[in-house]
Amino acid sequence: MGHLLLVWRLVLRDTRRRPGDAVVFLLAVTVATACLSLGLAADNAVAAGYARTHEATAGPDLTAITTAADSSDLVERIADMPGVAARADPVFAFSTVVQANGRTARSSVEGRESAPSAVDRPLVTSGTWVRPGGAVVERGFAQALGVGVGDRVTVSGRGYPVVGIAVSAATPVYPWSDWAQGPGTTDRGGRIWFTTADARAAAGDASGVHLVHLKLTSPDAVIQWRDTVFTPGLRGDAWVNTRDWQTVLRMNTNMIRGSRPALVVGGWLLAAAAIVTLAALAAVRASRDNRRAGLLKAVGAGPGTVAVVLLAQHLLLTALAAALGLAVGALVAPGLVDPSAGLLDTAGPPSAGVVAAAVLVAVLVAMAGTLGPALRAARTSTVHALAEPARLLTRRPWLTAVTAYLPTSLLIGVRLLARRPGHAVLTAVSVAATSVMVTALLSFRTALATVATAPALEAVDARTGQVLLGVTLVTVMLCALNTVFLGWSCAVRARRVLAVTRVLGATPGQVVAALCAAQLLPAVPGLLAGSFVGIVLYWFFNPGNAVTPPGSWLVAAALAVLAAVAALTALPAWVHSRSPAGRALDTGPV
Amino acid sequence: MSRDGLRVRGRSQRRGAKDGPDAGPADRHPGEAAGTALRAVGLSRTYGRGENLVRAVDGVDLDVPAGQTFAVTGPSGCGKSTLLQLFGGLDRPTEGEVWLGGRRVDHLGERALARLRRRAVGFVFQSFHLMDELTAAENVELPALLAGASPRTARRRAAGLLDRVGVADRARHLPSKLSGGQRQRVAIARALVNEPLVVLADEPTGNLDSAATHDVLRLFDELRAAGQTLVVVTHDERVAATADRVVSLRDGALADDIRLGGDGGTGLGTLLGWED
Repeated sequence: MGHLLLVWRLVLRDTRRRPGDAVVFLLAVTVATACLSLGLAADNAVAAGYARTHEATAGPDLTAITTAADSSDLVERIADMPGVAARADPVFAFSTVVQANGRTARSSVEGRESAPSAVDRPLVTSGTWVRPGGAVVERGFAQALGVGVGDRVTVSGRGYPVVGIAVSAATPVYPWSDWAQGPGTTDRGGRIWFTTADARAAAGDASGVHLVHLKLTSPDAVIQWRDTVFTPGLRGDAWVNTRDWQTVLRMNTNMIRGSRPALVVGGWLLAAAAIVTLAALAAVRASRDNRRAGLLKAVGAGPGTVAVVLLAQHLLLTALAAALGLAVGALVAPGLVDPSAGLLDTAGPPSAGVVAAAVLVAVLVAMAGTLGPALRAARTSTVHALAEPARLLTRRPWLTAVTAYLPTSLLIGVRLLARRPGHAVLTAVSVAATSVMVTALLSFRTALATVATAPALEAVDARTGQVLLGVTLVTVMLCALNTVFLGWSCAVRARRVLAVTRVLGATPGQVVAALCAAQLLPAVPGLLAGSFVGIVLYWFFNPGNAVTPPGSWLVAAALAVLAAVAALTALPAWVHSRSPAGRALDTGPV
Repeated sequence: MSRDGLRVRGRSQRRGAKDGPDAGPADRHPGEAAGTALRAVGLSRTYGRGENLVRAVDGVDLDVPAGQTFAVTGPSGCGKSTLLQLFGGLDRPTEGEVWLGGRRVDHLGERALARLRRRAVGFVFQSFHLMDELTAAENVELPALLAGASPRTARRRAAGLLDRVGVADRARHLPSKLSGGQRQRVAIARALVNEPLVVLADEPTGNLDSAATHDVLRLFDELRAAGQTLVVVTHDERVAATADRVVSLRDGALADDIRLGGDGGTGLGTLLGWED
């Protein structure tokens, strides 16, 4: 009890005393877990949205589509089959071209009665259900056309006012909603509801289809049921096709085929960047944590107790960050995975797999960034911890000889770099993570510019672009934070060495340039590796669309990243170089 | 602040020998029977090797009887603080033995040393070394909680000690809000909270002004009167003069050993002119 109180007290007080550390920790781990859980939860979110829409609209488990002018025979035969729980009256539908707001799109027009159907009752989300002379537009399609209640759509040369917007789970979301096209290749399209009379009038001489929506007693066995029932004898002479709910769900999931890898890969990259953030934070905190370890040991705490105290804070923050990341993932996923807005959004609890993955990532990130420094602090000799001894540097005569001919700033920068190889690795990893995402984004933009996209897929591409841009921006921000932290940590740890160089005649400008050089040198290989990995990853996830960004784009992006690294490093370096060198010498050896 | 308040329980001196973990018969030193709180036998601590070898402590033999105040003096770099660290298990000797309460402790593992520190040793540092984020009371409770005391017991002990060292009204203040003297008094209360066998003080007045130094010396005087074994490393002749015995170190080796009076040194009152 006493130990628990002690640990809790120390964790709480340290967090209160330095809330900035805790905020940075939370931010870094949360963005990584949120991005990853968003990517992993995407499929679940589509399934949950579809299930909710299916339930709210009495969605069919299977739809039979026939070109027979009279579908009554087929309907009667199906209705007598075992396993049918409910069926709707056949719906007349035809495929046509619709104009609205200067846009043209293919769409099925279904004829419906005002009375609710037994199966597939579209849920009106705004306006009213069909009435003579008025059209109800599927919500995803309405969004693509840019129409709302009160606007007009033109079908077969006649304008109809839009009286309502509705969602339905009978077909996949826009642009795969047009099931009235009959045999042959199917074009992408939307879905509009008229009254049956208006639909037949609008169809004119065009041949249509009849849709027979069915509810089954065993929806999960829909494929077996279909293969058993839809024999050539039942089909008759007319063309009959079937669409089951599992196919609908699979096509809906296809809408996030571009976004999901961006989120999952981005999540892992953010995890790598977060590790760098925590490692940099640990480096900045090292002196303080060492002292805390020494104080605790001096009053009788063993290494285990010290390690628990130093890690408990990180573990608590990790748990909080994992919970926040999962919550963000669960809340944002529904809106993110349904670019056409054709489903009812629902924020459900994440699956056990997503929770496990997010917690694993959070713990990995936290431990990778903090376990080493905490254990080092716990094992440090009490006397040394209390005295903050000088960091013993290995003498490297070759380094001294090689760098002797370099300009002053580069000379100091190279020596700082060589003495802290771990610091160089952190910088390279951070810049590489940024470079991967920037290159992937440039590849995506190149593909948009060079490969023709079907107009109907614009929404999917737009959402993929938004996701890529979002993940890239978050990665860039985290890496910018890393650069500042790493620059700060380098300046703090080398403050005495830099003060000595200033005493010996180096100007503050040369010191700033030296710290920038120490960051830029490892950033270059990170940048090159990141660009290469970004291109390879884009090719891997887009095998049919393997493009490479123009060289000028890549060079411009690389220069921008390096300039940002230099600028962000110069900031803490400048702050440190402003204080008098004598004061730095008095702060004790580091 | 009462003298009774700083009275040291007699059993604390026995406890150090009896309660220590892993203490087998082979670890018992004959000196235990004679009431020796602390003993160093051929104690050495060296750093580096070859030409760079530094003998911080060089073959020191010492006995600190229980209940005595023992001062270690000498010029800077003579090994005073290192000797204190070896006594308290903060550092390990290169050669020799350290016996605490009749138990050999120089070969103990880090965990056993931690247990030893929390039960048998109290430290007072020149730089106070209080936890910045904890209040004065919480700093004093810290060793008690580490030693397994219940939160209520730790709180009660801390309140009593802070009252007795005269900073009860500062119990809820952070160290940054305390003066140097107040911080050192809190540190002394912290050192006493587990009723240790021996209190080791490293330049306890080194960072204090005259008034605060007087306060600390008064506390030490009360500790001495209460029978607390106290080892003080100091530059300050006034502090050394309050001890029962003063040893001087030079280049890590014992240079001088002076016993000040049979009944316990000059005493603060005499030193400051309060008593004849």
